[in-house]
Amino acid sequence: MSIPWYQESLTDHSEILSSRIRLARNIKKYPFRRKLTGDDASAMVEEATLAVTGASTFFRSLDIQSLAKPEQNVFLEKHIVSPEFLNGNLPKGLLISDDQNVSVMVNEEDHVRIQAIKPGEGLTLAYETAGQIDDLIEERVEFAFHTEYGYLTACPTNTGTGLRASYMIHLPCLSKSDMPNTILPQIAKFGVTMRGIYGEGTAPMGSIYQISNQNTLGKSEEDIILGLQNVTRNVLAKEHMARHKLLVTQKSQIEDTVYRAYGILANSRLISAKEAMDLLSDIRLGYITKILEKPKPTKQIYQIMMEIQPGHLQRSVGEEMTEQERDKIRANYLREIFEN
Amino acid sequence: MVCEKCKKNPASVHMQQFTNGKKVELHLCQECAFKFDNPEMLVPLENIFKGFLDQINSKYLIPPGTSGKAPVVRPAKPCTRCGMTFNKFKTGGRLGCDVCYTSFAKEVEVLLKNVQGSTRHEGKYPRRMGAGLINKRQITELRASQKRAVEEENYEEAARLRDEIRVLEQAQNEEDNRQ
Repeated sequence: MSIPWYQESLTDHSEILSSRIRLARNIKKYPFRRKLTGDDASAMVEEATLAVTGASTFFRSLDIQSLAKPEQNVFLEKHIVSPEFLNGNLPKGLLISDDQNVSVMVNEEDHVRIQAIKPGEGLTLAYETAGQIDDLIEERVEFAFHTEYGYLTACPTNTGTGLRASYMIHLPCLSKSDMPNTILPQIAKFGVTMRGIYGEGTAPMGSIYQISNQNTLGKSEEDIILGLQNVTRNVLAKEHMARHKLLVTQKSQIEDTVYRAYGILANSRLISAKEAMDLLSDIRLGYITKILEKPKPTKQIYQIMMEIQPGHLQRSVGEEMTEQERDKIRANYLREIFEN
Repeated sequence: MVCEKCKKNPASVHMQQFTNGKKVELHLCQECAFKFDNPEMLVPLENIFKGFLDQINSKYLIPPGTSGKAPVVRPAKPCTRCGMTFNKFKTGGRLGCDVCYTSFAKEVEVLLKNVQGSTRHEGKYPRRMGAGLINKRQITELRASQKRAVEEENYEEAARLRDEIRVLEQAQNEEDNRQ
C-alpha cells in the first residue's frame, strides 16, 4: 500500500519537499458557484461526486463537514483542502485516495478541483495523475470549455489550463538574507510567484516557500511545468550559492545555529509554532550541510513541521487547548523526538 | 497595527508578494495569514483587477470620438444565462457561469490579456470535443509553422509541413462529410 507523500523515505537533503498539481474544472450544465444555489448546488455536488467515484475506485468520499474543527484543520495543514472550502455551509464534497496524495474538492471556488501531490521533485508525475483523473471524470460529465479560452473558471486568473503547479521548497540559507525578496521580481518575469507558506515577508516560518505558476492561459500544461521547473532550478542554484558562501565565511556561526537549535528542541518546555518551525529549519540545514548527523529522527523534518501545527496537535490530544497548553504539548512532542 | 483582513486581531504577519511586477504588502494576524494558503488567495482579487477593469472602462465603455465631452458609459448587458452584471463581477472578482465569458466578451478579452498575458488556450482539450476540433487546431498551427518556414527560406521543411497539412485536411473533410 502506498503511503502519504510526507512519510516517504526521502532524505532530508533535498530542497524540494513536495510537488503539487491542481486542475480547476466546472461542469457546463451548472452555473459557477456564485450563481449556484439550493437544489442545483446539491445536484451538482451529487453529480460531480458520482462522476469522480465512478471514474476510479481509488477514491473514497469524506464528509468533511461532519468532522470536528481540529480534524478539519488537519486537512488544511496538510494542504488537502483550502480554507475557502471549509468556510460556509454550501453543499460540498471531498473525494480522497487512501494515501491522501490525490484528492478532489467538489464545490470549492470551481465545481471540481483535482489535486495530486508527490514527494520531492515529482511535478510531471503529479500532472500525469491529475490529468488521468481529469480524463476519467470528463468521460462522465461535460466541462465548461471555450475553444479560444480553454477551461472556463469562476475566476479569470485560472482560465485556460486551470493548472496551478507548485513546489514546496526549503530555502534555509536564502532566508537568512533578504534574497527571497530580491528574487521575486526576477521570477515574476517568467510568470512565477513565490511566497512563504505562512510567515513574514523576509523570513517566513521554517524557511518553507511555495513556488508556483502565476498564469494559466497561453501556454500548454507541459510548458507551464517546464517553465516552473526552470525557474525553480535557478532559485535552488541561488540557495546553493548562498549556502556555500555561508559555509565559507561563517562556518562557526552556522554550526552554532544548528547546535543551538538542537539544544532548544531537545530541552524546551514551552515552544511556539513559529519558534519551533525556525529551529526545525536550522536542524534541517544541519543535515543538509552534514554539520549534524545525529540524532536523525525517523520522520522527515517537514513531517514534524506539519505535526506541530495547531490542528495536528489538537487532534493528537483530543480536547480544546489554549495556546499555552499547545506550546507545552508541542515542546513535549519535540523533546521526545530530539532528546536522545 | 490591526489585521487588514479581519480588522480585529493585531497584525503580526507581514507578507509581500510580487504580482506582475507590482509589490503588494499585506499585514495580517496569524489566523488570517494561515487562511491565505493558496497563492491565488493572497491578494484580494479586486486589487488585481481594479487597474485592468478601469482600463476596460476607458477602452470599451466610452465610445470613441467623445473625448472632451462627458464620457457616456455604456455598461455591458447582464449575462444571458445567469444574469450576472459586469459591475457585480468587478466587485466580487468571480464570474457567474460559462456564458459570462461570451456575455462580457470584450471586457473578458482585455482582462485576460492583462492578467494572463494571453487570450489563447494552448493546452489540453477535453477528449469529448472530438478529434475534429483538435485537428482544426493542429492545422492552424501547422499553417503558421509553414509560413514561418517559407519566411526563413527553409523550403524543405515548408514542403514537409504542406504534406502534413494535406493529410490532416483530408481526414478533416472525411470527418465533416460523415457528420
